[in-house]
Amino acid sequence: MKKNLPLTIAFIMGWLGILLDYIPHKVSEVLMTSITKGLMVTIAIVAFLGLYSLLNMHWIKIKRKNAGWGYSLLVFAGFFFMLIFGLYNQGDLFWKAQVEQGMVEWIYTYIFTPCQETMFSILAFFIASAAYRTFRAKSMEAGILLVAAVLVMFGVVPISGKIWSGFPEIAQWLLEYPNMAVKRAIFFGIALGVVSMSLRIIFGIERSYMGGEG
Amino acid sequence: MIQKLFNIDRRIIFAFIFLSVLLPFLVKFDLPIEADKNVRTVYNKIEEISQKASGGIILMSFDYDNSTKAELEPAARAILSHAFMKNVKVIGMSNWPNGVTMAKTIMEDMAKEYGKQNGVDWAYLGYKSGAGLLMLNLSMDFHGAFPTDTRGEKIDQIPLTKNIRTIKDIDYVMSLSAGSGGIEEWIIYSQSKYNYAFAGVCTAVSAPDYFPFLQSGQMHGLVGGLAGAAQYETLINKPGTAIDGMRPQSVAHLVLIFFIIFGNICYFVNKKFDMKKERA
Amino acid sequence: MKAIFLCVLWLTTFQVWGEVFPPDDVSAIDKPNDNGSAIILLWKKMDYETAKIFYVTYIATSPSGPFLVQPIQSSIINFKTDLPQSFGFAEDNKNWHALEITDYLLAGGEKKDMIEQNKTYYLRIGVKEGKDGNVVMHPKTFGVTPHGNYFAFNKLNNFLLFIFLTVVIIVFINLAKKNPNLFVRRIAGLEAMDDALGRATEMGRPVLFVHGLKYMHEVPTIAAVNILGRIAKKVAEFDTGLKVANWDPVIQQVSRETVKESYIEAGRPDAYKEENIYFASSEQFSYAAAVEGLMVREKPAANFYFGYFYAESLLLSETGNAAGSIQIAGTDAFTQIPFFITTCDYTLIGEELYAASAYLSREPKLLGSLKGQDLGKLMIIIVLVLGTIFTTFGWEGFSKIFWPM
Repeated sequence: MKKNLPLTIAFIMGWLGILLDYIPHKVSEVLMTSITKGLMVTIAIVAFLGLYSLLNMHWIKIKRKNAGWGYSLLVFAGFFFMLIFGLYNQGDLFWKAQVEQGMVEWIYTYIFTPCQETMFSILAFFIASAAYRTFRAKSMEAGILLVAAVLVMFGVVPISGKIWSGFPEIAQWLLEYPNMAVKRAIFFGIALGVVSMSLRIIFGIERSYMGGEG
Repeated sequence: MIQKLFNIDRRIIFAFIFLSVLLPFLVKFDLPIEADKNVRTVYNKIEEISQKASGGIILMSFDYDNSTKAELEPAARAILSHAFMKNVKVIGMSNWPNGVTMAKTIMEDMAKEYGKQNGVDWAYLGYKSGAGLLMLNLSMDFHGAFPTDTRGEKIDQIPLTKNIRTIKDIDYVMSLSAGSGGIEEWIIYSQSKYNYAFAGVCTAVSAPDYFPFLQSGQMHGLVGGLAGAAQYETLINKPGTAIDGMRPQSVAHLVLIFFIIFGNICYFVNKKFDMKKERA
Repeated sequence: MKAIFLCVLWLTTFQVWGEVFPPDDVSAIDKPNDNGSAIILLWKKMDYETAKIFYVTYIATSPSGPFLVQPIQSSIINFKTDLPQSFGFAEDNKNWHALEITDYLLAGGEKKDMIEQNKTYYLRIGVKEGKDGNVVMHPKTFGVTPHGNYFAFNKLNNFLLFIFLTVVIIVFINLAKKNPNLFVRRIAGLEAMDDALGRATEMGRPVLFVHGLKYMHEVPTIAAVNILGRIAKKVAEFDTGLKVANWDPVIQQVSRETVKESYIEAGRPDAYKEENIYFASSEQFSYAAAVEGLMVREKPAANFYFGYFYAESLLLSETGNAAGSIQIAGTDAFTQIPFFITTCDYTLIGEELYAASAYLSREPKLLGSLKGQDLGKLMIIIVLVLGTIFTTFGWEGFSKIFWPM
């Protein structure tokens, strides 16, 4: 029962999902709307599970005084700060929409935003160091790749067109043709992989997502 | 010595990248910017729908958050400027919860600049969970998916949205996307089923991901990264942060090219050195 | 003389004493392949059409009216060619106007009503020169009743392709049951998995698993969870620690169940620690920061990245590289593949991610589906080659068969 019920649900919902895509009738739309709404509600509800897991994991760390448990305290501090300010809502309390220019917005704009932007900007540094370390013409193929990469990088810089109008054109050509040909080849493989994987799940052949070898 | 250069400390590369971004902000110089065909298509489409008697409506889905703000916000502002300049009405929404305040601020700023009225010329519907499922849902039942806007007003009573029953009632849909719950989901869950004009605004690194959708016609236009935003600013003749941002980006690219070439020179010199050593 | 001739020609073909002709061959049809919420008014393009010619349509719910005037339509837009999902790619489509109507303006022109299925609508069409010209009406009224369709024939190509692939894969799965010794080429990244886990055991450090950033109902994540199940079983056998940082609570719950089952199957239910499979953050870069922090603090011996990744891929793998971990990645995110290749020891590209589960288990039924995939790929290659040849020689009809609609 524990295995058969999920497999039956996967079989029914899998075929339903496929067939509804080919049935344009209103009945099909109503069914699809109900399913998607149900899934959206489920996704919203399980957010609480995530919250519980997060707080529980950090609480265990603090209780056991694991390495770096001080950071776990910060998780609780951050969580309760936001919660309190969100509920207080500048005196309007939580049943009204969040007031503009309130503390929540302040924390969002001046703490959360810079932290996020910092994380993303680290990418530029990491790309540079990874490219320097690994982009070496160790073979003929790697050499071709290197030349293509340099041409694309240079071609997308606005100044390249001033030096020679061919640079941006070459960059665009490389992106639209050789790059696209490879991408399509990978795409076909992925698409077939998705179909095959979906069928394996729908027919209950692939069960490892339920644990064990299935 | 060569060996040292070959295994250069990554922090030295970081320092160079930092300077290549910082200095062009301090030293100003102009760069020639020309719009490519994918950016031009988006521009032309907005021009086209502005010719409609009703003024036309576009749906902008802000599917990003602050992390990619530097790259996507200039494009969002440029497109909104263009739409408002041409009296095209704009509906905003988000598939990323952390992007709600940011998206709302952008829409409010631009509406204020062009004297547009909330509910009549623009509306912001906020965030709902589900991403692809939400897209599928709103395509079939717009009012059901978003019963109210962020002000709590019912969207079947807001002048701009009261007549929008399905996605087909919108003239142009675009996703400003930085990852999951963005362009790809729009195409898979909504555009391919309902067949409407759809465009994307994305980070530069993910732009090549969407080229096949452009060629298949599932995607109508693409504004890729800061470069795309700068091109859009050039088209609407309103220089902004994207054109400013192209300077550091261009210099950083050149520094990166320099490091790759330099790394390869070191590699070959080192290889020659090793071969000589082996022979000796 | 020439001017007079042109003037006469213009008068005879375009206007007769200031009058324009209404269009010929008008008909109203229910939009095919839809949910019954649209009708289409068709009429033949007129020889004298220029940008100055406009069409006016009227709609009523009773044959006697009242007929409600709708926004005027320029004659340079609304052709059958705009609706290939309804009319295909026939050469003649450019000679026919097709106005799709999903809603209509009510009296006063402010409010709109939607087209409803199973309700009859009556349409009329008129033509005028210039936006302010007089309307010349077509004498007839055209009635049409929209119905919802039970099959989208415009997606027939897609459906047949799906049926073909399904049949092929099922046939190969059944063949594999009879002949279980199927050859599958070596996937280096998966071969190296045991070494990575062995290294972790020797070093006494944990193994980290990351799923990528798609939702649980999406295939890359399901593939990732399948691989997690296999890894968890080996981890339990090797008696190594396993950390799974999740970005989504649903994935976290599924991962817990998967890992728990794998530990039970390996006979080590006591070694399973629920708190090691935890929710880090649902926000991309907060999640990346949490995982990077774990890498720096706990220095996992092996990092596994399986699933669909975005910009966080390089942040994670570069940090893992700096921390000295063995790294194996598998993704179908095209743009992230180069980042993984430069920073990881092994990278599974595209469909290899989906094949991993079959490869690791060597289960004949799963391997059979891979063979089915290969036949599907062969078919695509044949279609591509033929399509290229036909298109090169000017016959585009073949490629149109596979057009997405």
